[in-house]
Amino acid sequence: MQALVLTLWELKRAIRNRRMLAILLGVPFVAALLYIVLAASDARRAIALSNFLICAVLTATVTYSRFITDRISGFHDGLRSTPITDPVLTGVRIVVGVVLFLMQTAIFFGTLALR
Amino acid sequence: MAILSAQNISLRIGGKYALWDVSLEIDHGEIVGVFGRSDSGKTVLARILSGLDEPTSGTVTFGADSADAAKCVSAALSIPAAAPELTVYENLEMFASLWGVPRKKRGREIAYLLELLSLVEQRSRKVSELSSGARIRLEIARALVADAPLTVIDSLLDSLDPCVREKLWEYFLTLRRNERKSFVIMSSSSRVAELCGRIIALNNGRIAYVGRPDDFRCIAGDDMIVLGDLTNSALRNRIAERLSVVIQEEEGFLSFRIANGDRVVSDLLAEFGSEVGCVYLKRPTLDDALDVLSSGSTSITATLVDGNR
Repeated sequence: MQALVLTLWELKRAIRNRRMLAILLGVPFVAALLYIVLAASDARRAIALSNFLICAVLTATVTYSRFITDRISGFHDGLRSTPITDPVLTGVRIVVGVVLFLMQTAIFFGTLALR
Repeated sequence: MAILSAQNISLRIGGKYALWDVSLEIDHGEIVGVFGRSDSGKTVLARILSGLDEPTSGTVTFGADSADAAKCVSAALSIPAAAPELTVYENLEMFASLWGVPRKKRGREIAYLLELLSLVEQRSRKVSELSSGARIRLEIARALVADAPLTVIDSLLDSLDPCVREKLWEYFLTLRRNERKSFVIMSSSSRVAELCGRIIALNNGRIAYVGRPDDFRCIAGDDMIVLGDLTNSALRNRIAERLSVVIQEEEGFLSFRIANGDRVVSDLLAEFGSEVGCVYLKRPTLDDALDVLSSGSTSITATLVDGNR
């Protein structure tokens, strides 16, 4: 239950970071536009695959950098001083990363669906 | 049964021991001050007691068994630990829910703590927009909202406004009295340490003293009484004979050291009041006692530690 509570709060934190969110969601949006523009080209497959890989790397990088930032700022220690265990903390971060990746996928396919 | 028991804990960082052979017990309903200069090991000890760091050797037990620290101890850390993207209220709401504080109680507690720590006007502001003073107050609120049996506060009370500190201390005493909550207050300020029922003096990572603040003060020597504006030049001999003290005279002022200075001053004024223009009583402070320990008086340290174990 506390894992779910923390996951929701972590998502709220992630969404509040407008700059990070703009980059994370901007990349699949641009990829989707390129996919639409190059509809008749053979590059479409490469664009789709590159988008998937770039989004995965971006999300992993963002997840890790948020972890480092939280450690430096002291927030990570604040969480560790609660009854939440370290494995649960790690699991929550991974889940948030997966949700962000799913949001990127939704932006990509959602943009394609709009054409 | 002690709420926390630490036995012979040491922590090695690099090639140096930041803590060496520290043993202490915290009972229910106790406010203990850990008093020491910078680099004496206060923060290291705070992190070990709150379960954030593991000691290199020794054991820390919580409650009746070796229960997890995270269920018993909440900590207000020297580096404030709130989420910068969330507001003051959201941070308290989040940490209260992570600690399992019931929803009904949460709102009441948060409202009370915001009022107590003068954070009401900042409740909707993001932590990243707060001043350093407000972040410190939020950090204390974050630890208190947890409603844990033991709260460790690391060097945050030192920089609070005196009026906020006074209100907070009254709250600690209320929690201690009504709910038998315990507090461990790390501080380098003698003003904060003097408020605690028991203090543990740390020096270079070792416990140098455990006991009451008044007794610790005596390490620095007796009180000093200075008398001035004397109308009778023979007063010096009369006081020396009366109190059996060695009196020093300088520029018309008489000074001497004696125990229980406040009582002696009352007696002196009663007997010689008409012959003395002014009286000054200087009591040794906890800082003075810490200076004595820090100056390397090994025999004192050894005697005190042995006597208090």
